[in-house]
Amino acid sequence: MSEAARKKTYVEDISRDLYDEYNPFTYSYKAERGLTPDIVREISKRKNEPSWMTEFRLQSLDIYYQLDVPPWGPNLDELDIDNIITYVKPPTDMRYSWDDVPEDIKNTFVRLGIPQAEHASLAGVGAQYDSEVVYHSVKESIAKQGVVYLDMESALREYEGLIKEYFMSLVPPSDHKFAALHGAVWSGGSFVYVPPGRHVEIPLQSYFRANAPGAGQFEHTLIIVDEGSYLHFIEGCSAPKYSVNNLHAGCVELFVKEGARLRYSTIENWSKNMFNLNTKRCLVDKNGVIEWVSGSFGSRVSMLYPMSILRGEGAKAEFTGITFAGEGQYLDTGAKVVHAAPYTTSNINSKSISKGGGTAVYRGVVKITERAKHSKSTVSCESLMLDAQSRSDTIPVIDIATDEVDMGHEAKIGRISDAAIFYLMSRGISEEEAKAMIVRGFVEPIAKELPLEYAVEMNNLINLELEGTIG
Amino acid sequence: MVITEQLNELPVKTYRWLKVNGLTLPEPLELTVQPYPKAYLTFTPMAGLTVQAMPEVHLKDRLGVDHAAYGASPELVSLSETQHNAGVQVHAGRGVKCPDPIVVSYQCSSDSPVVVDHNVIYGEEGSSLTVIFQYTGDGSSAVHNGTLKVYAQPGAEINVIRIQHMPDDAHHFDSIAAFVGEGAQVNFVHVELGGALSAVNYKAELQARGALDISGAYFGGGKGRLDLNYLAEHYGEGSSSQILIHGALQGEAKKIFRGTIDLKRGARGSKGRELESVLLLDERARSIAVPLLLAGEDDVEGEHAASAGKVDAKKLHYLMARGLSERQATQLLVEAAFQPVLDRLPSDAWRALVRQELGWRLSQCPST
Repeated sequence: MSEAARKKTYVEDISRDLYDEYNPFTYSYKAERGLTPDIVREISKRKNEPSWMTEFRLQSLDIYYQLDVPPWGPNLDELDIDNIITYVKPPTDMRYSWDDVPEDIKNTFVRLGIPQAEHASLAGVGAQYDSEVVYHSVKESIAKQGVVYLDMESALREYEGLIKEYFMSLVPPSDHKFAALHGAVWSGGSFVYVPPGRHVEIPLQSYFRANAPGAGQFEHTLIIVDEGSYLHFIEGCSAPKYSVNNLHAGCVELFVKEGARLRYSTIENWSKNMFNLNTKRCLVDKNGVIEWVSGSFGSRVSMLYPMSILRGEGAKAEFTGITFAGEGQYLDTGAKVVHAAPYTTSNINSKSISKGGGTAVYRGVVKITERAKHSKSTVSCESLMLDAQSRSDTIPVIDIATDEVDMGHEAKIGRISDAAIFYLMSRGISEEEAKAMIVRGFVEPIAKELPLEYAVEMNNLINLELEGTIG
Repeated sequence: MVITEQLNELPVKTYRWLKVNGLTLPEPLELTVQPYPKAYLTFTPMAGLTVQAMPEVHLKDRLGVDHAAYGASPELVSLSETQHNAGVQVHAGRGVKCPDPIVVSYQCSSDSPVVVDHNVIYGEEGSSLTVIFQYTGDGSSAVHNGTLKVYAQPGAEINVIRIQHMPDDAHHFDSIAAFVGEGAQVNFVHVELGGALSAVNYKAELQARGALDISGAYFGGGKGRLDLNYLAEHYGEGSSSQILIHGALQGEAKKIFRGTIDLKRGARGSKGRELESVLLLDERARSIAVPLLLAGEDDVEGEHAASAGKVDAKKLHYLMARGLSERQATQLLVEAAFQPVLDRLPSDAWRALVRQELGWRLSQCPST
């Protein structure tokens, strides 16, 4: 093989300059060391929450004190865990109105090409009339179907009974330290209820989660798709958050009732100072289907493993994920499935790319309980390494407690094959373009699962990386 | 000595709720090491081959090799290295090719239920040799704790065969380390059939163009527990490893497979492959697989595959339609799963032994 052919193409990192271009706010809040019950009570009081929620928060705080930081996975030393209060800033420091957002930030959004409506919702709908209009137009079209789509604070007022029944029932605060933290200081997020037998045509998007005080970092998403219904929910936006905080401990709880289907799509592109310690879980009843589509591009550290609990006979989980770890990133992502009923099915398809010293980890589990007779599970993990400075690890667990199963797991790690590049180059394609084509082909199965505008966004993110393809 | 430490720790930890990061003994295990008076060594003497029982001198001093940690646990390794009551040291000189296998057979019995062996195999440049270890016994409360270190100097080929068919209430602990030199080849074939608890740990360090092959077959029955841990660390360019493990679980047997291929930075052009497949013969059987693939180098190929399922119903019916009972048909299909390992055994006598031991165990509990 010639030296020239072996020469590695330098692949450019996703440029964050554009996203990161804003002036830091100076907060007046003086943080107390440690998170105290008083601070948690204050959060609850400011939101005028019912007393059970205040209690829930305080209990979560107790659990938070008791639990340790996970000893496995990425190093979280840089997260100032003893001084966690620095991440829980009081809402008075937030800007709610687009008008209050500094000019340079608005310009950044404009340069990013984020539509006006999104500017508004990112800045918070609380004081923004334009966003109210947009928000209500979506709301009205689905409201005709009886679909409830609210921010969590409003939901807690208007559907207190439902929230009390479901809130953190699937991800209890005792799950792990950051779930406990979430239970104590959660703020913002979305609540969706789809009544039985409805097919919601338009995907719902969680742009408006930034509405609420303190939102963005500890938002809670609760979705109930009732019997026989369908919903596509899109979480996170392709735009970055305007945020100086660097811990995200969100929580997503999804309930898919009998015969219902929920598609939950995420493109995460947090800024690179973010510790993204997010917990997502779905409980699937008889013949229900959960489809996760997950793209992880941003953050400094991610620990994200959407979990599907198939508790009803014939329930099904699909996971399609792509993780792209560039310089300075440690993205530890994957999927967890528990087969807890007969005739359940899971398909996990995960792809990762690492480059520039980034680390991409697939971590997952498929657990087939003794009840899950006649279950099927297939797992496929593929990792592409673009240079020798990067890391790619695959850490799956397969736990089977019954004999009537059909389980297959495959994983591959490698780089772009020289033969494929030579083939394309022999057809007159430059080496850079050949590599770009191969990378695009690699992520194509994920891209096609995304709504068009998100697929375009993802392709743009990838194209930005590849030298010679940027116009 | 009381054994309390966690065994077979996963090289990279994961979720705690799954309890797969290591094996905690249900209760501390007390071990009393008494002299082991039996003969256990059979070999054909030849020029350039030195075989000694009870290695007193640790090879590390002689080789100047800085040993990385290895084994099921530091406690077990230390017990074996310092208090062994049996063991062999095999040394093949430069270019020495040994045609006949060296056979080491350890047998626990009621008068000497505890075997603690420490074994070292050293193959000089270009040498080749085969060593067979057999672990068996007929008494109750048998315990085996052993270490084996294999040093393959450049171009050496060392074949190690380990056949374990201890009594069903026995404890079996195996700590094995291989140092695979440039262009050397180390092949392990191991069969695990007995024991209430078998904790087996293989670790290999591969230098440039070094090759490692581990073929394992296991059967778990009754309430037996099998805890298998494999680690292939690729340091040199162009090294290759292959870990192929097949097994069958019956009754309430529980098996955990931890297999790690670690392609270190600089191990350009290396390949690692692991495959684990299990036949589930009982709905109460429990099978856990944790196949890790770690890569700090892009110019590598790593892959793993794991599969689990029942005996193929079509094949079973086919055989039964030809007059075999369900048990016979099942046994035939389990033997088929063992075939890749049976093929690697050095003689028909060993193959017959494994078949017989397997058949006897399969017939212990009714197949469902």
